[in-house]
Formats: sequence, C-alpha cells, structure tokens
Amino acid sequence: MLMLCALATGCTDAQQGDISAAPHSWVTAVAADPDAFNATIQAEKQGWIALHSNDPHEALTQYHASESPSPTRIRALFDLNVLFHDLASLSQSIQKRTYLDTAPPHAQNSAIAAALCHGYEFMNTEPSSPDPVLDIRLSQHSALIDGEMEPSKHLGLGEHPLQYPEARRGYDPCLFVTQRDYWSDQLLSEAKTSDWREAVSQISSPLFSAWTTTSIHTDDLENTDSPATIGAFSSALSALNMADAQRIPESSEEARVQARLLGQAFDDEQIALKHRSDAAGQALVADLHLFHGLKQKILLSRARSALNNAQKQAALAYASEAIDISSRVVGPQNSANAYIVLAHARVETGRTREAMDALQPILKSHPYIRGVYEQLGDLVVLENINRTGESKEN
Amino acid sequence: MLNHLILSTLIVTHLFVMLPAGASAATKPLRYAEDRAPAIINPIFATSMSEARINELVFEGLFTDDQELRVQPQLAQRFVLAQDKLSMVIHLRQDVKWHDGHDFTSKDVQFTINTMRNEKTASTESGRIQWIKEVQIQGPHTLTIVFKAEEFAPYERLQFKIIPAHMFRDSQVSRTHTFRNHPVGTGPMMFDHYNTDNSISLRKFPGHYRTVRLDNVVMREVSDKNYQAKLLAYGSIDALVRVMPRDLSVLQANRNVELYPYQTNSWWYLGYNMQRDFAKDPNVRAALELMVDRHALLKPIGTGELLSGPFVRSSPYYNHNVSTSRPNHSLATNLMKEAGYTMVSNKWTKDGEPLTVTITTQRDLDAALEVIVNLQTQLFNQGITVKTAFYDKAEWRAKIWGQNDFDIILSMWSFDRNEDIYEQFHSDGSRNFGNYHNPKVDSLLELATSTRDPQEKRGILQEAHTTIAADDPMIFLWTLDSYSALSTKVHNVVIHPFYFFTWADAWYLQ
Repeated sequence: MLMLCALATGCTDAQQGDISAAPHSWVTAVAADPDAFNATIQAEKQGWIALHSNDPHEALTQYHASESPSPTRIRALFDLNVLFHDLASLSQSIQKRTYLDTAPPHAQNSAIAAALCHGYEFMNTEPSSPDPVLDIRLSQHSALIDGEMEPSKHLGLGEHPLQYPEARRGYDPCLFVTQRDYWSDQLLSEAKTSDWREAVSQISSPLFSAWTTTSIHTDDLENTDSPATIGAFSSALSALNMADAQRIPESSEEARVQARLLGQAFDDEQIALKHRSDAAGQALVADLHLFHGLKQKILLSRARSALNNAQKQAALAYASEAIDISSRVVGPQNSANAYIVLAHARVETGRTREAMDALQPILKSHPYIRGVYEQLGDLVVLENINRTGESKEN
Repeated sequence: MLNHLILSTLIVTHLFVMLPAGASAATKPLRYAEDRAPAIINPIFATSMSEARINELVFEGLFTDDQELRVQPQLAQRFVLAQDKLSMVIHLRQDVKWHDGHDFTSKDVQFTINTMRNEKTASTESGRIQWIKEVQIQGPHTLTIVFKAEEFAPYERLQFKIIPAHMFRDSQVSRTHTFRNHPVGTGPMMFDHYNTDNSISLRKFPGHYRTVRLDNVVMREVSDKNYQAKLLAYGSIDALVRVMPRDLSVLQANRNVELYPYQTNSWWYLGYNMQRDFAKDPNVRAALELMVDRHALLKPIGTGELLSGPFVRSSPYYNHNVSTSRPNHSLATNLMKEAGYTMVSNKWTKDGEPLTVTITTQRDLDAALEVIVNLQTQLFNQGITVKTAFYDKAEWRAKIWGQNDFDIILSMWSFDRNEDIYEQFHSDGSRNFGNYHNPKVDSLLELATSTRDPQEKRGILQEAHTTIAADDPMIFLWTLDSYSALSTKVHNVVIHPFYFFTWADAWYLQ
C-alpha cells in the first residue's frame, strides 16, 4: 500500500536526506531524497510500478513511444531482453541435456531432429500469445512442420543405454533465442544505436536495476560481456564488502559466503539509513523491498556469469540466495528471472526435478514457459526411467 | 520475559545434554534435529525419512549419486553389462571394511539381496530388488547379478544399502534383531551409542576408504518444531532437517543460517481403510472430502499448495486437469443421504448408529495435532464424530503397516525424484495400508514401470492421477514449502534432495 502511495502521489513531506557519505547504491539515494524518487516516477507512474513489480511486459505497455529515444522504454526493452536471455539459456540447457547427454545412440535421428525443430501444438493452444513476435516465430516455423527436414546423421548423440522410441514432438528450442534477439533488436532500435552498451547508457535511472550506483559506471559496462550480466562485477561491490567481488568462486560455499556478505552489507546500509535519512525515506526502502530487489538482481547477474563460465555450483548458490522464499509469485520480491535462473542452475547441476519446482510459481504469470516446462518434465522422466523409486513416511 | 528466560535456560541445558559422552567440545559434533529418533537402524526395514537419513551415514550401496545426481560406483568399483543386457558382473572395492573390522565381500551383497527377497523377512525394501533373478558369487570381490529381463541401466537400481552377512544367521531376518540397535555398516559414520535423552551418537569410521571430515554426528530428538528452530537460531544445534513453513522467513533473515530446499516431493493425506464399512461406500468418501476445508487446515501450519492427487504440483506426473475439490456442504449432504445416512440429532446416522471415525496419526508428524484438532471440529460441525489416536513409531508400525487396523490415517509420504506411487496404490503395494484396489490403476502402474518412453510414462501416470482421485482412497491434502536449515558453521554442505546426508563425509564444522 505504501508503495502505491509513494509511487502514485509522493504522499510524504520528504526532506532532503543528510547523506554524509557517498551513496553505495541507488537505494540509498532513494532513501536520501524521496522527493526526487517521486518526481522520477510521477512522469510514467504505471510503468515504474510495473518495473518495480518485475513485469517488463506491462512496463513496455505503459511507457509510451516517442520519436526521440525514450529512456524508460529502453529500460523496459532491456528487461525483456534479459528475461528472454534467461529463458533461452534455460531452454538450451534442457535441450542439450535431453538430446545430447541422455539420448541413446540408437535413437531415431529423425525423431530427435523433429523434436528439435518441429511442433508447436502446445503454443498454438495457448489462448493468446503474450506478444506478436511469438506468432511471427510460430508462422516462420510452421512451414517446417510440414516441410522436409533432413535429419542430421551426426547429431553428436551421447552414450546412454536407453530406449527412447519417440522423442517428444513439441517445443521449439529456438523460440526463446528468437525472442531474446527480437527484444535486443528492439532495444537497439529504440536507442537508435547498434551498440548495446550505448543503448544501456541511455537509461536515465537505475531504479530497480542491477547496477548499484546512481550512474552506470563506464568501467562496469566495459567489463560486462552481455546485458544479462550487468552488475555482476560492479566496482561498487567491493565497497559493499563483498569479498573477492571481481571473481566468481569455484565452490558453492564461497558463493554463498559472498551472497551473505552482500546481504549483510545491505542490512548494515539499512541500519545506517536511520541516521542518514528521514522516516519517509527509510519507509520507502523497507516497504518497497528495495535492498532485496537490488541484491537479487546482482546475485542473478553473478549466477548468469557463473553459468557462462561453467561454474555450476556457484551459480546454484547465487541463484538460491537470490530468491525470497517468503513469496511464491512474481512481484517486487521475486522476478520471473529469479525463478528461471534458479531452474537453469538446477538443470546444470543435475537437479532437473528440482528445476520444475523452481518454475512452478511462474507458470500462471508466464504461460509461454509451459513448453519448456513440459520438456523439462520429459527430461526428468527420461533421466530417472531406469531407477527404482523410493518412498518413506514423513 | 519469563518465557524467554525459561527458553534460554532450556537451551543452555540442551547444550550440555547434546554433547555425546565420548566427545569433547573440541571435536565439534554435527548436531542435527529430528522430530523423532529412528525406531530402527536397519536399512532393509526403513520406513521413515529419519531412518533413511541415518542409514545414509552408516550404510552404503553398490552405487550412489554424485553431487550432480549422476550414478557412480560406491561399494562397486567397476562393472560389465552383458551384451544381452540380462546380467552384469560387478567388481567390488577391495579396500572396504565393515565397522567391526570384517572385510566387505560379494557374500554381503548376495546376502542383502536374498534377505530383502525372503518373504519371511518382510523387508519394506523388497520392491527394490524384484527385477533381480539371482546373485552368483564369482570371487570374494566379484559377483554376477542376473536379471529377470533386459536391463539397460541396472546400476541405477543398485543404490539400496548393503548389510553385513556375518551379523545374521540366515536370510530370514527379523525386524527385532539386535542389529537394529547396534548397526554395523560400511558408511563414513559408525554407530557409537544411544544417549539417555533418546539421541543417537555416531562417530567417524576410521577405517573408511575415503577421507571423512566430520568426527562426530549427534542425532537429537526434538519433537517441538518451534523449539527446533530456536535451538538452531541460538546455535545449540547445527542442522534442522525440516523447517516448518511458518519459521522460514525468520530463518532466512538469520545470517548464521543457510536454507536448502529439501524433501520437496512430499504430500500429506488422509487415508481411508477401504475395508471399514463406512469407507467402502464411495459416496461417503466423496462426502467427507467435501466436508474438509483444506485451506483452513493448512493455514495455521504454514504455506503450501493444495493437491488433487498423489503427486506434488510441480511433478511431471501431476494432472492439472484434475481440480482440487472445495468444501460443499449441500453436495456432501446429498451424498450422505445417497449412502443411506440420515441426520439424527445433528449426527449422520445409519442403522441407528451415528457415524464415528477415528483419525490416527504419528506423534512425530509435524503439526499433526493442529491439523487433527481443526479437522475434528470441521467434521463434528457437519455431523460426524471424530476420535483421535496418536501412535508412536512402534505402535504405528504394528497397527498401520502390520494389521491395517485403522479408520482414517493422517500421514505424509515423501518420494525421491522418481515419484513412484506403485507401493502406495497398487493392489500388491507394500505401502497400500488402506487396501485400495482398482484393476485399472494396477494396470497403469505396471505399465508405468515397464515403459521406456518418457512421454508415455507421463501420460500413464497422469491418467492414474485422474483415476485415483476419482476413487477417493485418500483425501489428498497439500505439499508444504519444504526446506532444511543448517548453521553457517557447517561447511562444504551439499544436500541430497532425498537422503540428505549422501555427501556429508565432506562436511566439516568450524
């Protein structure tokens, strides 16, 4: 309620906070100057509410297009790009595990190829696609469904003593890659540039983002491989006492320690705010879960970076630490990305069944993940089909 | 204030009690809490998760999961699968000792399988070796396992625990054999002693073939879940295997505690004894389901998801087309009338007898008391008298598992990632206490076991979900948000999603 109050009307008589030290993050800046925060969000209030609720689809709808680049639209497009980056990564991981790691040598190549490239029955049964690009993608590939697909004779099938007579028809492994690329193109188009760093640098406010400081450090951007890992190695992390912040550790334990240190740093910041800002600023930060939101985004960036570097256990630790387990829906406390990255890390560490647990909370809010969810279910069954089940009481 | 003082005193007292007799403070035992101590430490008779967990420390299998849940040899060293896939030769590790110093040999493997197979033993694990035809000993550390049919990945089914042949006279083993109190395994921890407070002390097995970093482990029985959480928060225990959902937010905010998802394939249920007269009538079973407000039962114990069948909602086998029923008093009333009951003095009555049922549960089931009291009120208000019974493990084992002597049980099943419900719902299932019988379900469960097509298996089990839900042999309740909590003083922690302690030999305290 306070969130709506703050975002909608600027209902407090905020005073300029007395910040004696430079703010470590945009969160402390919000606490210090609630008026500035309110002024920022007033212009496109519903869009900012959507961004705070981790709903970039809705944010994009609310931010109106203009002839000149719109920093807020760029921001929404950026978030959509990252969302589909995460889905593409998860989907690819499941595909690889399904068709390369566990498929049998005597499986029908044609069936596997078909499963890789054919079939959109499920997607077509969805009542409505979330955006036009899905339909574009579906129509592009519908030709393949009835067309001739020459199966590769050398798909690099791994050794696995399973019979898998009918590889599942169904889901386009490229769907989310296409989505990711589509939103990336939209981002560049909106920013009128061909360089994603330049596009990101046009984002006017870091509110609810993964980057810690009030302006994006040029160094941070230059040290980042992709939009999805912005914030992972921010120079601000060292100032926040994250040990060895510029390195992703090998072990899950070290990653957990880093995550704890980051959480502790934000806890300390929150306590320090009591001396540095007025009550309205403190309430904004607490009620909007701003420190948690920032911590989650940083940890997800680090998890993605760890996954990119095959540091699976560290990725799992970061992703697990990012989730606020008191909420099981997409909203201010947990983004869809948080569940998707967690699922990806679990797939990579063999916890495919647990990856389904991770995705379960976002099935309703993101119906277009149903395809990848179903294929994950197939993978779970496939991986355990030779095992004898065990059950116990309590 | 007074409560706080009492709690602090209790916790300080606990600190002293929890140190095992033989362990100095310097050895830093890993202290973990169970709601109830295992009734028995013998893996061929394990029925509860607390038993499975301690077995994981004391015993080992031929194969086990690595940290990415891929099968890898444990007591086996290598194997050769026959070309016809009807047998495999296993070469065992030669550096394995039992905790009492005896050599581990192929005879132990043969003995374990024969014992599990022996009907007079009545092993609760017998279903896990039904696919094995025989075991032939080729040498002290070499054996051949012959299958009943082709097996494509038999090593994935050889994870059950091995027990020592030299501790038993023959393959007819009684559950009450003294082994249950003085277990001998090959695992990283060996049984040390029982403490007077019902806790169990284990110590490192010095002869283990791997490096074991934990010196001591103490399993502590703490039946009060609130107290468990406080003990962990105060540092008086190091691990809490199952956190009540209502305690999660507090523990997540505690920087000295780490939460890990654990035992997530678990669901609660009210199970009918289908041989009781009232439960034979499908209208009565359906009516009772419509009288139960599961939301209201769940709310006091925490967050979770209501279920419509025998799988958790995230399961690949859960059939989302089967909806969870909602309380419907008028429909329940009609069903009771159809079953021949009439309302007399606000009691559903048939042949002059008011419908009275006893709901039985285990004393150690988290929050069962709260659920049963609420349930009793709900049903009483709708004309059914409910009596309650709380059994300890031995009574439960005898009355429920042995004699099937109950009206309705409140309990919970936990599954590994296979989520195999054969034993619970097949007519021949060893965990089918309620004597549920439906030939169609039997057929589906048999098909699910034999198919090698994942999509087909999903379809079969989703159909089984539909069929079982329509039969109402149980009122499927919920799955809870399920986590373990460990102190940050415990290092190198990776938790197995089902067995918990599979990789505990690498844990250490600091």
